[in-house]
Amino acid sequence: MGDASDRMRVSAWVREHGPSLQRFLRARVRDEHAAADLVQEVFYRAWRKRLQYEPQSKDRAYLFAIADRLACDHLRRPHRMAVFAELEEPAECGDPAGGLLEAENAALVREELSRLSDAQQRTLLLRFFAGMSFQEIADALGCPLGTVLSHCRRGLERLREALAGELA
Amino acid sequence: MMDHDRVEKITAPDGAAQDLDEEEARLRDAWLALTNALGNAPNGAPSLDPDDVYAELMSRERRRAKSNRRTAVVCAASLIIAVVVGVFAWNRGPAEERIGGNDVAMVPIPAWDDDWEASAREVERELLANAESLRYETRVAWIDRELDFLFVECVRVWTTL
Repeated sequence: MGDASDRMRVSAWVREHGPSLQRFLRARVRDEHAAADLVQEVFYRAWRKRLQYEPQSKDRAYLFAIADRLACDHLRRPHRMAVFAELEEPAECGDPAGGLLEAENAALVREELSRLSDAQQRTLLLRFFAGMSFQEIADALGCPLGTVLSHCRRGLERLREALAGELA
Repeated sequence: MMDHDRVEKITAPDGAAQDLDEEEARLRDAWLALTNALGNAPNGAPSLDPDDVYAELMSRERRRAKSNRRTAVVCAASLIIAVVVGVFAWNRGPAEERIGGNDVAMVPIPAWDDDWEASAREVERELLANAESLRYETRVAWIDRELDFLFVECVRVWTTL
């Protein structure tokens, strides 16, 4: 069923991409438990299709494309929406006042992110967490490159407008 | 269509963005705010252990294979049952027709108005003739019934005599 090379490959996936996949899915589905389940599902699906997909250099884009599709499927089901900001806890920091301010700003940004359209969120999150090129994002989202660039730019414009008077 | 290079520059990793105009710089600030917020977000989930993940993959694969085997067995059993029922239904009508299809003609019984030795010889000849004509290698229901009838007649004749 599985051999040593499979085991090494899965271990490499988990070590290199596991944490960022966790964070990406957590940001997408806004549910910690669901994100944990989806991470496992990402690795399972990637492992099952490993024979159909060989190029090693594209592992990150491959895994995040699967994660994005799973997150979309998850969000299509009812009773899945939660408030992203509620799930985030303030980050630990040496300076309590500065840390609190920073955490508040971060929470504000994440809240504004959750108000963007789904396509804009997917584009920005894949760009940040997966480090995918816009062409790879376009392939993963199944839309033209120009549309992806437009999503990215409009998403950033909306974030900028929302945060212009809010960030301390 | 947006300028690909400009958006690449705006969303480039730290230190890689250069020669930005005022508008791009503002979008760059929004991007950096986003990346800081996402990058600093605490990861509340426990860290993944590669061995645990691989063990879970194997476990799921075993469950899937087991489920597939069970499905295959159920499908095969259903197919066998369907074939057996079909064969039974297909053969049922024609078999009955074959069994009941050939009526046994009544063998005329000779009149008993002569002396009994002649009648007995006549019956014996009849029996021998019938026995020869009814000698088949396979058992057929109507032939069996014919033989039974002749046997009973023989017994009745000999009892009477």
